[in-house]
Amino acid sequence: MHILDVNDVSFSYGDIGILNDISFYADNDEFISIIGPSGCGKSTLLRIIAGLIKPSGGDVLFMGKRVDRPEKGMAFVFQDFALMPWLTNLENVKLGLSVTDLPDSEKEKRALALLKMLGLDGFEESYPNVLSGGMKQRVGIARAMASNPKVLLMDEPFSSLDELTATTLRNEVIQLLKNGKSPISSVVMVSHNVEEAIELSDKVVVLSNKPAGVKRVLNIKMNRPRNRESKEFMKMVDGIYADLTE
Amino acid sequence: MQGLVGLLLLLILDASFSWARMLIALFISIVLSIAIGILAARSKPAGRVIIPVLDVLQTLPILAFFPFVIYIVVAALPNYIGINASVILLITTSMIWNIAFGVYESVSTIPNNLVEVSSLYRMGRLERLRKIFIPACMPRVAEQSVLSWAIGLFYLVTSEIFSTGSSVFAVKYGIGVEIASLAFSGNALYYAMGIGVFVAFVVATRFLLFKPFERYTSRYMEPQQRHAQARAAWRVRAFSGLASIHMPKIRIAAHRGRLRKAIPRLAKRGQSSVPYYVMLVVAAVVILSYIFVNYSYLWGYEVTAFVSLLASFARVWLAFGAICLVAVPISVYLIFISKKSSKYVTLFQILASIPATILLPAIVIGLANVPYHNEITAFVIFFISGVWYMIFGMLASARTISPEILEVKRVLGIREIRAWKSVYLGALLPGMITGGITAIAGEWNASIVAEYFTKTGISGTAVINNVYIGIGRLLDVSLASGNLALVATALINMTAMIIIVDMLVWKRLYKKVASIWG
Repeated sequence: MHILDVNDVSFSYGDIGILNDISFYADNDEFISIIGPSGCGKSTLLRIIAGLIKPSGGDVLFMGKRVDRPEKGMAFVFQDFALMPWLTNLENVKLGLSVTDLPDSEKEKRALALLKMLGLDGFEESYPNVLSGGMKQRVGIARAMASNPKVLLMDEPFSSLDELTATTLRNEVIQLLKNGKSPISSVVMVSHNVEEAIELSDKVVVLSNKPAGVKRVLNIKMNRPRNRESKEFMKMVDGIYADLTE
Repeated sequence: MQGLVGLLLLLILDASFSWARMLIALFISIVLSIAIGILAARSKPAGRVIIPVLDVLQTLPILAFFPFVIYIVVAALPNYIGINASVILLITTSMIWNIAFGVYESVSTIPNNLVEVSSLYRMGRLERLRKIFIPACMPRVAEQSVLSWAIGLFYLVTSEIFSTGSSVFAVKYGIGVEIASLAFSGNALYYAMGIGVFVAFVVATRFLLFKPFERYTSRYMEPQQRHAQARAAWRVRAFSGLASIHMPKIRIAAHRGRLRKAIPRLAKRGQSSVPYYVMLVVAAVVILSYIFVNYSYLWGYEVTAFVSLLASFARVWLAFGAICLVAVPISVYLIFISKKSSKYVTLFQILASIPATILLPAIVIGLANVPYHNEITAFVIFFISGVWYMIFGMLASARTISPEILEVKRVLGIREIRAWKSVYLGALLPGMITGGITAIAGEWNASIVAEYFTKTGISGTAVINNVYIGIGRLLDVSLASGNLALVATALINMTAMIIIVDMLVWKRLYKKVASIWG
């Protein structure tokens, strides 16, 4: 059984078709990127997977069960972080434990541990407004990881950050996910950055435009850490660019 | 039947005359606002004077201007024209301030590179006005006009008929006078017809005048706003009809800050501003003692005004408490929970445009036999005059809430009860502050009708509703008796109180919220 199945998902907005029969799946230990031209509906697709939006056709299965509302086992990381500005960073992370029935002291312990793991100790009691973009996204990731999800959905998580910060955070995230200690077994990330997708993913789903359909699913078997300068890497980048600009 | 048709025609005639006055007042307000607002925004010294003055003027109850206006206008012009001119002038004074602020804000936030372009192409003053400043401020002018119209309607009713000293002035045709006299005739059907015609005019104005006006002035903004992807859909769906009746006045609070900063600015940097405050207080004490020693009756006025102010203060804030209890849950429901909020919002907009002044006669009559009816009537009027500001303040600020925040609630499975604390109230706090400032201002403006109400000119001068003590009552009574020194004392006390509350409550709250919300 796949951990996540996307079966013939379609979505239209009024008369305008946005997604057209999209299918792919995610296995255990897979990092999947969805890539496509801007405005093609990548974020909408991710929100359908998350159970935030209902598809017009098709369905999404999480561990074999149909998703029609947000699932406990899936967490979401937002492009613009979506932290509550009126809650402290610690409280924001604790929000990620809302679904659990843990006592408050236990929630706090876990949130503190996560903040520490993401290098945010010292900022527990301050508000998000004192944090840089990269630190805010760390809080966003900590919040997503708090409930020990099996699947992590990320909506362009690095695109609001400057390139240097994004590079650092990408490395940290991939280490966090691939070090064997994390409960997260699959990641689905939406991106418009081809290099980023190839660097991180085991599988890249390339979408076409208007309405978006799956153009190609590309398996990437390169060893990590991946060298962006290598021939193999650059060939893959060129291939995807060719797909996207066709 | 024939009588009813006749009444209907009369009401339509009345409303048409009233609306003509309103339209003239709105036109004057817009023209003056554009001139004043652009001047304040483009010239720093002018702005330093204009902004604080506008700010104080808009918080004062407009009826306080009555005697001055009437003495000047009615005396200068022939009777019929004089009365209409003073009504128009009075409505203008209620409409103009927030349009002027809107112009000021939009002109001062024009991107500098547009102004640079105008220099590069050597545009003259007139051309700059025509091509840059006026188009840039028109969307806000349209937005603010809707609010000004509602405020104008509130005062229309009371300004069409008024008395100073022993003279009573009334317009010949006016929907305000007509509805009041229908109410006192005791015929519920006639009164309801009056309200019906009024509401029909309000709705027609909204759809035939303001909607096209807003659409026209913001035509070049459309593509940006329509950049709505599916994920922003809830916002588009929920608030497309809202058109932000009440833009946050919070910037105004910031301008008040200038007034305050102007004092420490006299001090050199690094020095404490305390000595200057001390000097200011000493100067005030000296001037006041001189006045009170030489005109000792003024001391009595001051005591009366101060005690009256305290009584009104208690009423206004009690009603504000009730407003919060009602408005916050309604707003949370509309913004976060309801799926049909745009329908409710339209309904609320129509309800909100029925001014308290037009309901007052019915409220007074309805409550006449209830114990403490004078206080209850005052409470109801204060409530009606503030509650819409609170609701629309929160709805307007909700437009700035990121739609992702609601998605967070769903993704994390935050339950409703918890969501109140960690999502809803936090998200609405800025709106509660802006709404609160305007609601309290609305209540103070209404004090003059809430605390004292006569049916002057309709059937003699009987006092209908009358609280025992209050600043609105004091203003009314002193105006009616022509005691301008007492009017001035009451106004000064009220203004001082408004500025102090502003500094101690709203500014602090706003600063705190702004620092966290970022």
